Amino acid sequence: MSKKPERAYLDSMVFIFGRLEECNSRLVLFLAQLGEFEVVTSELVLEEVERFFRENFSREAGYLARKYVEELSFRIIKRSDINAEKSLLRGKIKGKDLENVAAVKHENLNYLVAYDKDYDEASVKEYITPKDFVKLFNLKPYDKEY
Amino acid sequence: MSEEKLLVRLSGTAAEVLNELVRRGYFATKSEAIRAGILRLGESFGLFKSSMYYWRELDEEIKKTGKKMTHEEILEALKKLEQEA
Repeated sequence: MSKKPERAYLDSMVFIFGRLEECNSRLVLFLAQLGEFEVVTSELVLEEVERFFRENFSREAGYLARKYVEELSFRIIKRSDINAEKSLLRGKIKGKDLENVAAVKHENLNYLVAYDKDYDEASVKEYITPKDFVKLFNLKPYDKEY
Repeated sequence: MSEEKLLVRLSGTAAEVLNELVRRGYFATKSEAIRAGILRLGESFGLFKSSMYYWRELDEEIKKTGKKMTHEEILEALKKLEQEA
């Protein structure tokens, strides 16, 4: 039996799909809410999730989404803390993913939960889809990857 | 993030309940059970709101807007988000 993760970095898409669709991202969020693992995020994730809900639903939805991420997160990585990692990764990782991967490296995390083929193409070894992450907890995932 | 380290001595019912919570597998460790208990206490006294609270409130707010996004619309909005980052 595989060892259950104790900590994991959640990409913005996990929060967004998890709230809006019945999918594996939602299972990931439920596992976190149950305290099955500790959530690590970053200022980037906070901003992206807030903006998504504000622009697509309402200002209040943006605020509530941000508060949700803040309350669920055990640790939120500050931009100013990951400058060294970003410098090392620049050129190897696409700009849009740089901050996420830098935060994962900074925290020595084994899991970056997301659904983005760019992580695969950049051979980010910590990358795991919500579907595969859910399997680590011996849960039956939905068919979809996200 | 603030941090507190404390030694707690428990006896009687409190100790029994704590042991039972771990024995039944609700919590992996006694420390974890105590942490969860403090948060519940804080929530019930209105000192803070849990992630579950915001999860439900966000759901209500989304329903209130009456807007529903298809999977494709979500993907499109995510792409836009990444491009603007």
